[in-house]
Amino acid sequence: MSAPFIWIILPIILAILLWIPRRANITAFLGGLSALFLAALAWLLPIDTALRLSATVSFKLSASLEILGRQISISSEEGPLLVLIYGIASLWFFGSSAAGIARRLVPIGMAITALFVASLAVEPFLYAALIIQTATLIAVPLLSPPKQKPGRGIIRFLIYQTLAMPFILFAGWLLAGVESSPGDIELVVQSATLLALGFSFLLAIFPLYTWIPLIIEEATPYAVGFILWLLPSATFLFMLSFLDRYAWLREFPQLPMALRAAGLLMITTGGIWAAFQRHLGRMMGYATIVNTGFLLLSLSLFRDYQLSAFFLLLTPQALGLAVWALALSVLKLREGSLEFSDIQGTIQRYPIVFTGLLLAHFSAAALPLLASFPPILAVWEGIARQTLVGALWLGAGLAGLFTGAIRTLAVSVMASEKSFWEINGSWLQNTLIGIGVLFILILGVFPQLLHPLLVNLPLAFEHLGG
Amino acid sequence: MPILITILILFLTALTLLLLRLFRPDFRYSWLLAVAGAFLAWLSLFFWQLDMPLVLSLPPWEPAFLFSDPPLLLADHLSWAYAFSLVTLALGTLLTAVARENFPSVPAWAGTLSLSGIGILAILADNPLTLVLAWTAIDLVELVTLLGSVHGKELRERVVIAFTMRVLGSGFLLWAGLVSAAAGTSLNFVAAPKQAGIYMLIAAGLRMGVLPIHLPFKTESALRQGYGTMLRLTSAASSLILLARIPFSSLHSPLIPYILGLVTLAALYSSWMWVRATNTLDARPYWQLGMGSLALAATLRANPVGSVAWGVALILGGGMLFLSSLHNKWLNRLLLLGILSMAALPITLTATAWESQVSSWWGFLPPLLLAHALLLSGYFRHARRAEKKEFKTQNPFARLMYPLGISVFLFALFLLGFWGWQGAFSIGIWFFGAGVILLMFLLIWLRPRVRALNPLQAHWIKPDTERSFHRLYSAFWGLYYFLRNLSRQISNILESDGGILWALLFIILFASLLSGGIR
Repeated sequence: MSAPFIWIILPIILAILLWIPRRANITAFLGGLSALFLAALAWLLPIDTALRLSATVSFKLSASLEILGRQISISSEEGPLLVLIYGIASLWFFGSSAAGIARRLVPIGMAITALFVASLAVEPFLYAALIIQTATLIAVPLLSPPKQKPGRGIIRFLIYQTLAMPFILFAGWLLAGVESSPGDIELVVQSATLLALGFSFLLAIFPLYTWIPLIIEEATPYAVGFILWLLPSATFLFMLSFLDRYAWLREFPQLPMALRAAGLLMITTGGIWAAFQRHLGRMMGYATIVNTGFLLLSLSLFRDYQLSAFFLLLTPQALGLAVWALALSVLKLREGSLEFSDIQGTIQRYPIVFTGLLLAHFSAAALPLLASFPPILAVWEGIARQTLVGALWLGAGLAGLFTGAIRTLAVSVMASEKSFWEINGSWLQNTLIGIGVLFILILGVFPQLLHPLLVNLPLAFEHLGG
Repeated sequence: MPILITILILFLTALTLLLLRLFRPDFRYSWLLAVAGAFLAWLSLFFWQLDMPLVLSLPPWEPAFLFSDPPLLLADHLSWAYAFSLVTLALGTLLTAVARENFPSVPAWAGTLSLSGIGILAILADNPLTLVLAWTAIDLVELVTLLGSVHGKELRERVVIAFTMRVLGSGFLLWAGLVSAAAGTSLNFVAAPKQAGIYMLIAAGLRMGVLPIHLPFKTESALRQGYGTMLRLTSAASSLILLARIPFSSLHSPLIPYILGLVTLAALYSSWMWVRATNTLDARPYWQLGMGSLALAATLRANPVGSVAWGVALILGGGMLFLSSLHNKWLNRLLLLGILSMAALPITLTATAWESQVSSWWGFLPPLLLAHALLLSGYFRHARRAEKKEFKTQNPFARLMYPLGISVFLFALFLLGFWGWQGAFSIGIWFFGAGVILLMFLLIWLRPRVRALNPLQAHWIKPDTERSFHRLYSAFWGLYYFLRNLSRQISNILESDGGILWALLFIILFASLLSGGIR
């Protein structure tokens, strides 16, 4: 048995099998459990090392698998990455039933997750661009149900993600040339520019992120949230493998500055735009743009922090997004709209749902005591050491996001004097959001709890991990 | 260890109270348990004195190289005075609870003890990170409590604005840390770089409620009086400690005289409103703002001990007044005795309040002394107000416990005059104290004779301050709507059918810039 079989082929088979159950609860439970099991296997099973089961029997999980002449290999250093990806995916799958989308999200989500893992494992690694494109295509039915006419957001999502592929493939083709003749400045410029453009489309760098607020108005917030977690995370890991592989790219003098500029642009524009939204879903969309900005900033600091800040950001961002998306889905299912005008005063009817929504929002805006505060503080401090003006722009973006949260709070508490407090939402919805809130608070006070999981993650990237 | 013991006593008692309410709702000794917990915590504070300064390291954040300052608690002679005041406030709140309408109220008692614990965490914070965490905990507790207890859109909007202002204050403290990081040092309270001091000052000013100045919450009076007082004063104490921690060396900014001018204006305005207010609880923000302004002025005049003196007087003097709900000749005299310890007289709590390490900006002293006298004369008037219930109508148990609750404040006020912290047993600038007392008596004598000194509602002139605040808010909202329309226009362009072309145009622009930059 090989590692790619367990973490790529098996999840694809599971994705097909998970279409069978007719009850959403069962699909969600089985999907969550499967993903959790895959994460546990990644934590426990050593790859490419013989495991002695008894005096006569031993077991070895090989690292590679050949498909159509291409090599797919997962090394033991990549184990913690698999724990992180499947662990967080299980979180999304468990919550999908409460969001009313389990029967679509779990099978499709499992397949997309497996494909993204494949994109990290394929050799030659440029094939990853094709696998990511496949995953994007599979995501379409998740974001746009079969009987529904696709909106502008989904079409634009597809256009931008598809445009990314040729840029990355061209860049990869040129990179081979750069490796053989590193002194050729013209070639370096061309490949770096193409690569930057490719990743700009994939990561939805300003102004290519217009599909995010549009799609959130059209599709189920939970499904969009899942894609907005998985797609940037996988793209970032793909980007890291580029940086890790090519020394000239890693040591490119302008790289930290370019990453910093892109990150600050994302944070400032995303944050300021979030401050003026009147739709709760769009606000979450802009928050994910800010999240991407922070990941870019953390990468810009890789010479000081290696990848510690980057990996420290991933879990709180994913947790916050999951709670936020679930809360929005519950509200949309029950109230039918996420417009400010329709949710005025509703905190008294959905206190737990709004607590989740607001704390996730405040966490994204780096309110102290909440999960995203410690990593954002670390990144902010790192940026301040380099440029105080940059830190000020970052602060402006956070202030914008915080303003959005305050506006949501102000609108949601404006209930009439005669209305009473009551708890609506199902038992499952409230429990899951409650657990999410608890973890957001715990990680805000004790971020060191993540340390044992994160400490080995950078090892997957030999040169960047330090 | 002693720090941990005190905090554990407070939190465990609160937890026990809540568990008992949940599983044994008919438990009859909840109040006794709450008072016993508060009293034990109060006693444990005296043991801190045996081995001061005390340090308590909390679990460090990891990876360590990302977080330069781990959360740390430090109890020294300045923070001890605040910690002692907070636990005294909790004890006083619980003892006087017997005379309030909502007795028994187990959640409010648990809340009082928890707030006291969180307040101590804030007060003992040894670095900005720890302080910001404790501040946010207090802010969230205050937000949830007030949203749960006030009704009506306008009042709730004010609660949200107050929360925003406090978080903004926390943001300024974080910014001070970032400015320090940019200067190549990590921000701590011992050696803050001179660029950071001004932001720390703004942080404290914002959190103490300089903006917006008045936030009356029309809530149930029992909540306002007991738990409400605890909440307001804990929040104030947690902000005031920062004033004692800002090193004067970091306050070398050309803006300092202007800030001192603004602080003086805030002190005069709030003390004036305090004197003229009709309802003591409605006027509570003015007391906080007035005394807080004097504490801020002390920091600006390089007198951190003085700022602690003002801060402790705010908590203990204010707590005693706001918790008093019974009327009796002797009780009134007890309240009035408190004025002595707040008048900057020798060997009293505020003896060091008017000392200064800097000789410049003496021109601000007369208006600040006037504000002090106005605050004391207002205190005198509110202590003698007739709106309280008659002491004799209470049951014997309440008649025994209630005076004890008021006396504990008075005991603390006088004890801190000669023992326990750096400002104790000091002569200070006694003639300022004497002058303030004389001015106070003059104002009391003038009150029935000068119409302007009478309560606001009895006067025909409407204060002009509201209008100017409205103008300020209108200007703010004008800017907000302008930016909102601008962002909407840009969004419409980028999200419309032609948006893809615009995006591609931007991309080509970026690509040309990028390749130009690389060359």
